[in-house]
Formats: sequence, structure tokens, C-alpha cells
Amino acid sequence: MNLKISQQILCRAFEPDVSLREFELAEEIIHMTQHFTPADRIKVYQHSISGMHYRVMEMVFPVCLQILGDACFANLANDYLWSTHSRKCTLDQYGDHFPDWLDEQIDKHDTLKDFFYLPDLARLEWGWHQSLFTQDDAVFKLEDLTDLTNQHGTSLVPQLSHSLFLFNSPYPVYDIWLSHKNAEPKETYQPDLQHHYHIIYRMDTVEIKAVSDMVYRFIELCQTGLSLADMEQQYEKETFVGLYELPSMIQSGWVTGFIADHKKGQQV
Amino acid sequence: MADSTLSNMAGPISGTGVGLRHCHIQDVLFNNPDIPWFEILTDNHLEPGGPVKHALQTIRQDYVFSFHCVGMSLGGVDPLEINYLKQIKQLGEELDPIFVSDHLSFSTLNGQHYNELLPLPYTEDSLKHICDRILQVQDILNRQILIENPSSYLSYQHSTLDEWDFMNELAKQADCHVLLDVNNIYVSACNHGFDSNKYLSNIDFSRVKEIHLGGYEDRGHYLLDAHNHPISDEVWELFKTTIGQAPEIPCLIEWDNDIPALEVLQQQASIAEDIRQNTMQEALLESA
Repeated sequence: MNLKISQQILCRAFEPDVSLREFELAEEIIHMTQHFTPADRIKVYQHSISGMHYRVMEMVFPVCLQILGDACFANLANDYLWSTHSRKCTLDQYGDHFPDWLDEQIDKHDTLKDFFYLPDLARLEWGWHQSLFTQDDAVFKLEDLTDLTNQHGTSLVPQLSHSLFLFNSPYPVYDIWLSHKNAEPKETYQPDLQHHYHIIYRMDTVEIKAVSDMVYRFIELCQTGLSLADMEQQYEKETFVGLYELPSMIQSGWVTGFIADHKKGQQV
Repeated sequence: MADSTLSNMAGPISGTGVGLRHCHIQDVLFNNPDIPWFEILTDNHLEPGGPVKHALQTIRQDYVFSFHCVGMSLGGVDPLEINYLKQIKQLGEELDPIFVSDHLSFSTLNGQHYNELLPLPYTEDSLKHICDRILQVQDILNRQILIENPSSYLSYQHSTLDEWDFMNELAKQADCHVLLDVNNIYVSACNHGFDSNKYLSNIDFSRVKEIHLGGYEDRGHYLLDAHNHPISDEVWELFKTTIGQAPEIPCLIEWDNDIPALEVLQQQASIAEDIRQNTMQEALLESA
């Protein structure tokens, strides 16, 4: 039997939707002993695959796990594994589609309907996890900003920290996340707030900071690669607020440099 | 062919090292424990930056590292993941490991990653297939690699070779080295009903450059290579036989689940070193 066929037969047997005939085919190619049947042997690998992915999920989404409880989270993690399949050879990016996948599950399962905020909470946890492992940034000094603006005016394109992730939600998920982390709230939930905007970034540790919608939109504009001049022309209000906040963004490590618009690709 | 300067020299590391896991990094950083070398799970450290990476770079100043990988899928039929191999090479340039190893297994099929060490049929076809891929990997990494014997829970009806013969041939044909996991031999022997000592007496020790030791979990009708227990008495016995064959080979203690304090791993390493010293002394006495 050729190698590819034997691998296809075995791997098919791991899938939850394997047919009886397909499973029997896998059993037929496996050695058996009296107390350890081919079916049991396949199950060892099935459990190991599920367990490996579950351990990553519990590490990346610890608050989702706390809220749902072990059994429910384990079921979801298993369904997620076999319905989406891992597409990378390492597990460091495993779980990237979990928030979007949760969106679909909330609509499908009555038992999850009360957890309508869970996909956004998973997005927050994913952003936190991502921020921890991103590329380190070069240090940019606030005092260099004056020289740069003198040389290039507003033709500068701000460069954001690799560790910076934008997060927004209609629900106060950051407060929920904090309460489950037994951490001191850094902001008070304001029930009248229509929407919540946050920046996730890494200094020594990963931080999450609530920002105004204007600051949030300014950073979104920075991500598009527009120069300050172009932003000002098209998005006057956001750019006005953003420029006012720029020094504190540099100090926070959110803005880590600039590119002169006429010298694209050249870091200044 | 691959540059084998580093991986041919067992000299730069000796004694029994420990698998370095996240939970022990701070301990190692601040206490500089008396451990001769560390092995890192390469796949957990391919991220471009962050505090864990900084810590590894600091630790590397005082300790030698080896790289242990799980994602090459050397026995797989999907194309090799070149980006993954480039990441390993890049990390290798940063941390300069003495060895790079992966397993005799496959983990990918049709683009789907099982992230598990799945067993291969031991046939001439699969031997040729995996040797070709190891040669490619060694060319990309520009070094010889070590292949570890896996613990396995199933074997194929159409296998025509014993695992030890497959390992020996693979090392010879791909001009690579062997990472001999003594616990895996014991676990597989119990799960498949072969004799562990027969495995050891048939393996070509001239190709073995590293030994792994870990703890299994007894699941009643089979043993699971869970790396969550101290090394069992049976595996210590096998280790004595192993070290009798090749007393200078560096060893490593692996513990990946329910990980205890670093001191517990150091105690296991001390036992391994005591066995090594006793075995060497006994051999000296016998020869005298």
C-alpha cells in the first residue's frame, strides 16, 4: 500500500464524521493485539490531537474558558478543531479564527445565546496573545519629532508598533476580562457608553488601554499608510485629535517612527 | 551535502540537560541553575519578538541549547513547509543550537495539520521517501539533523521492517543522526509487544548523538508517552543498558505536562548522571 493512501486512511479515521466503512478500512491496516484493538489505538491519537489543541485554546482564551466552564469550552474547542482544522505546522497561531467561528455558534446554539459578548471577548484575548509575541520595535524619541516635522512638514506617514492591535466592541468586554483576571479595573464601566474602543499593545508587558473613538479612528487611519497631510485633508476631525495626542502615543510606544511620504520605504 | 561541523561533535555538550519550558524560564534567568545544557521546543519560540524570546537570548549567553522540533512532518506526503524551515534556520542563527532534531513521523496531510506525531509504515517505500525529505531539510538548514524514534500506539499490517532497522537505514541513507528516546522505546515496546532490549541491541550507536528520558502514564491497556511523571524504574533499567553501549552521549530529561519545580527535573538528571558514572566505573573494573 502506498504511503499517501495509508496516511489518508488513517487520518480520515480521526475525523468525527468518518463513516463506518472508512473506520473499518483504517482498522484493517492496523496491527491488533487482544487487549488493544485498532479502534482503541486510533482513539489514542484522536484524544491526543484534541488534547494538544485544547491546551493551546485554554492558554489563549483563559477568560472564555472561565465563563463557559471546562466542559462547555472543551466541547467548543473540539468542534472548532474538527470544523476548521489547523492549517499551520506550529500551534502559535492556532485559534486565530475562533472569535469569528464563535459568532456563528452563538446564532446556532440556544445555550450560547446569553453569551452574545463572547466572540468579542475572544477577540480581546486573541489580540492580547498576539501582542505578546510580535516583533520588537525600534525606540523612537519624542524629541526627534520636532526635527522631523521641520524637515518634512506633514508629509510624514506614522509607523505603528508591531505589537499594537485595535479592539472595539459594543459590550464592556474589557471590564468582564479584568473581573475574571482578578485585576483592578482601570476604567469604570459606563452603561451609557454606546461603544468601547481599546488599544492593545506591549511595553514590558501587554497593556490594554481604553481610548476615545477619535483616537481609535486616527490609529486606524495610520494603519492605512496615509501621510498626516492626506489624513488631514480627508479626515480633519480625527487627524486634529490624533496630532494633539501624537506625543503621548509616541511615549506609549504606539507610534514608533515615521516614513517621509515622498521617500516611501525610508524610515526617518 | 549539509555542513556537519557542529552536529558531528558530541564534545561541546556532555552530561544530562533539561528541556527548558516556559514555567522555568524566570527560575533559570535569576538562579543560573547547575544544568549543563537546555533543549528548547523550537516550535514554541518561532515568534519574531517578545519577552520570552529576550529571556532565551539572555539564557543562551550562559548555556548551550539544542533545538527539538515537532512540525517538519518528515514522513508526510505534503510538500515540506519551507517557511517553517526558514524560521528554524533563522532562530538557529540567533541561538546557535548544538543539535536540531525532529521525529520519525508525519503530522500533515492535504494541508491539514494534526500537530501530532503520527506513525509511518516501516516499508522500503516510506524509507526512501523520508530519507529524501531529510536530505532536503538538511540542505535547507545546512546541517545534519537528528531523528527521534517516536512513541507509538499503532503499527501497520503492511510494515516490512522493524523500527530499529528502519532507524539504522534512515540514518545511513540520509546521513543524519539519531536521537534515541529510551522512554519511547519502552512505551512502544509495551504497546506493540516487542522486546526493548532487542531494540537496543540492534540500534547503530555510532549514529546516536542524544538520548531522551521522560515519564510515561500507565493507561491500563497501554502506556501513554505523557511526559508528566518521573522516569519509571523500567526505563532507568533500559537507560543503564543504553549508556553501557554509549557512555559519552548527552542525555536530556523531558517533562511537558503537570510540570514540577525545576529542582525535580534536576534530581532526575542527577539520577541519570549517577547511572552514567556507575556504568562507566563498572565497565572500567570489568576491563581491568
